Amino acid sequence: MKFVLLKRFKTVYLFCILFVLAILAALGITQLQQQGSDFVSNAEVSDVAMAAEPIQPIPLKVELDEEKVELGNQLFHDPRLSSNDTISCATCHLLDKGGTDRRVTSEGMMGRNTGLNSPTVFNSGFHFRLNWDGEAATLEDQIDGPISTAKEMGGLTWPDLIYKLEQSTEYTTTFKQIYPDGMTRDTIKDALATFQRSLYTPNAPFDQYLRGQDNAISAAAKQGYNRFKSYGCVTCHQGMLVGGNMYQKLGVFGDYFADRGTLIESDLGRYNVTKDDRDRHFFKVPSLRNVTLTAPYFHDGNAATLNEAIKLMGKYQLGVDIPQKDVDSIIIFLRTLTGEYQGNPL
Amino acid sequence: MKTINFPKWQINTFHQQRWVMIGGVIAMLISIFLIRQSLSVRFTQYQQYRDNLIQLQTLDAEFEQEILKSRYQLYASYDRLVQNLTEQKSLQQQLQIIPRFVNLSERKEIQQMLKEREKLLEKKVELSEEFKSRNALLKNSLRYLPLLTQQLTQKLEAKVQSNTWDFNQTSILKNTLNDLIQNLLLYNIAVDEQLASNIINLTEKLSQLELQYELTADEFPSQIVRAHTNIILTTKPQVEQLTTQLIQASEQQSNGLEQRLAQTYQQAIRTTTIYRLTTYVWFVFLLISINYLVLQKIRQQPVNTMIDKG
Repeated sequence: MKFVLLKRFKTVYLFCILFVLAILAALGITQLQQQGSDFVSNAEVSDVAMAAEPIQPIPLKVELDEEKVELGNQLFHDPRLSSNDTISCATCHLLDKGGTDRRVTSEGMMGRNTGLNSPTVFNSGFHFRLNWDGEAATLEDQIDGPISTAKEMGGLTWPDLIYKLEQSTEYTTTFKQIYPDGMTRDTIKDALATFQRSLYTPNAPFDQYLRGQDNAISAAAKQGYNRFKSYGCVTCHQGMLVGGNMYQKLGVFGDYFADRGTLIESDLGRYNVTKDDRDRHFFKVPSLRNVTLTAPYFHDGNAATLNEAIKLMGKYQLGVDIPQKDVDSIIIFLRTLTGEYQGNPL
Repeated sequence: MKTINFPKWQINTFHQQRWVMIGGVIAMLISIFLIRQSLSVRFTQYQQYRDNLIQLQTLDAEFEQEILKSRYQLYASYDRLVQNLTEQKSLQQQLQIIPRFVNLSERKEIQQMLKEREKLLEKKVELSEEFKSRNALLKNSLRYLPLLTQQLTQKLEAKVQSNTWDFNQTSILKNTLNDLIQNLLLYNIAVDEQLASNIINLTEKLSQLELQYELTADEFPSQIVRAHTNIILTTKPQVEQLTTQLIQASEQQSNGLEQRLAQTYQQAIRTTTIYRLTTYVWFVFLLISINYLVLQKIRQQPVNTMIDKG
């Protein structure tokens, strides 16, 4: 009898302990969940703080398939993409020159003038559309342009290009390893586009400032940022790329093209794509990320320096001659937009 | 050549067997058809499609919010607008894969609705591009005018301090400029059209003062003030109109597709239930028939055997 009672007591005792442990575990989980939600709300708070500014930082990390990035890198630097094996994508978009060729207008195959200033390839994955006139909707679409244009890369057709690249066993093997379909027009585009998406430049001093590090930029740069906002530059140059998400007319005040002289085809801007008269001289607002490294400026490369570019913008977009001290102040701010590529400053 | 004469009952049995086989095949085909029709309507398909529709509506609502924010906030960033439209396009693509339970006529109706949505989305993209450009112009002038006023008043005050300018004249100019800025800022957010005529009067007053005080363009660049004022006066109604058009396009987009889908789903469930009932009745009938045939066979067997023996 005593033994039975003891056994029952043990069972009840064990049950109670388990019950208490269960409650403690439940409380612990609730606590953890609360901590989690606190973390989320903190993140939201910092997001709100950043959202108050019209410019947002570039993400520190973008997840991409490294094998595709590497393959895209090879293709990007491969002159076999042009018809006479002399021009690669990197000819006009040099990664050690801010992603541009620093020419007024770029030279394509056989030294032919492309009639356009090469925009930087850095951060191109974040642009709402590609090219000065916004012709291409995605990076994949954009690739067609230079490859098929005679004066840029010789105008190879896709079957011819694939045939050329298939002569390389390295390419065919790598493509087969990465893509079930092997080397096709779509997979070549995908690899190139993935590589271009990897060319993002986070952690600029201004991004650090936006993330709450107040001393990441100088007082002069902050003053420059205020000037940048006061002169209304920020109404077009906003968002993560400080541009790159809308179109705007070049020459709101005065006729930029008449003053410059000799109208060229690319001056028509978005009109070349839409054939809508309202789109004449409308261009994609360029990103100002790493802008100090990408001179000369504008679609025609007409502004040799940043100083000149700001003055021209003041004249034709605002109708004023921006005082030199304000131009200098804005340049100090623009310098803080230079980011890092693969962890190293550009 | 020897001919085999089958007994009459055996010939009857062959005929019977043929009929039983034909009947069996028909019964099997009917059964397959009924089973197929009575398979449950996949809720997950409906749920996923509905989720996409709801997400699209949510994006639409967010789009409206973003448009209004961009319109009325001092600073606008268009990244979210762009992102929103990209997501809408992607969802619109996913919606092209209509769930299996939707029958042919309803499928056509839904496809038509999707086409309308697609057109509206294209229209929204076009309108939003125009909105961004015009809104930027409007905000550009709204941002710059206060700075310009500040720079001008600083200039005038400096002249007053150096005794080259009359204090009263400066005050009049400063007040007129401040009134103009206030009216413009109000005009940007208000619907009162009277403000527009006030603004025009104030710009005219500025021009008169410029002449009266014999100010040079360098001393007082009133033409820039007027130019930016004109931009605000012309661009604001355009931006307002674009805002309305964008919101209307968003509202039109929710064209009852979700309701139509829910009706289709309910209809599909009702149809399936009817098929299930029919299948049940069919199998009961089939069971009874088979039993009846088997019993008949058993009954016939001894008689046939006796006839054979006899």
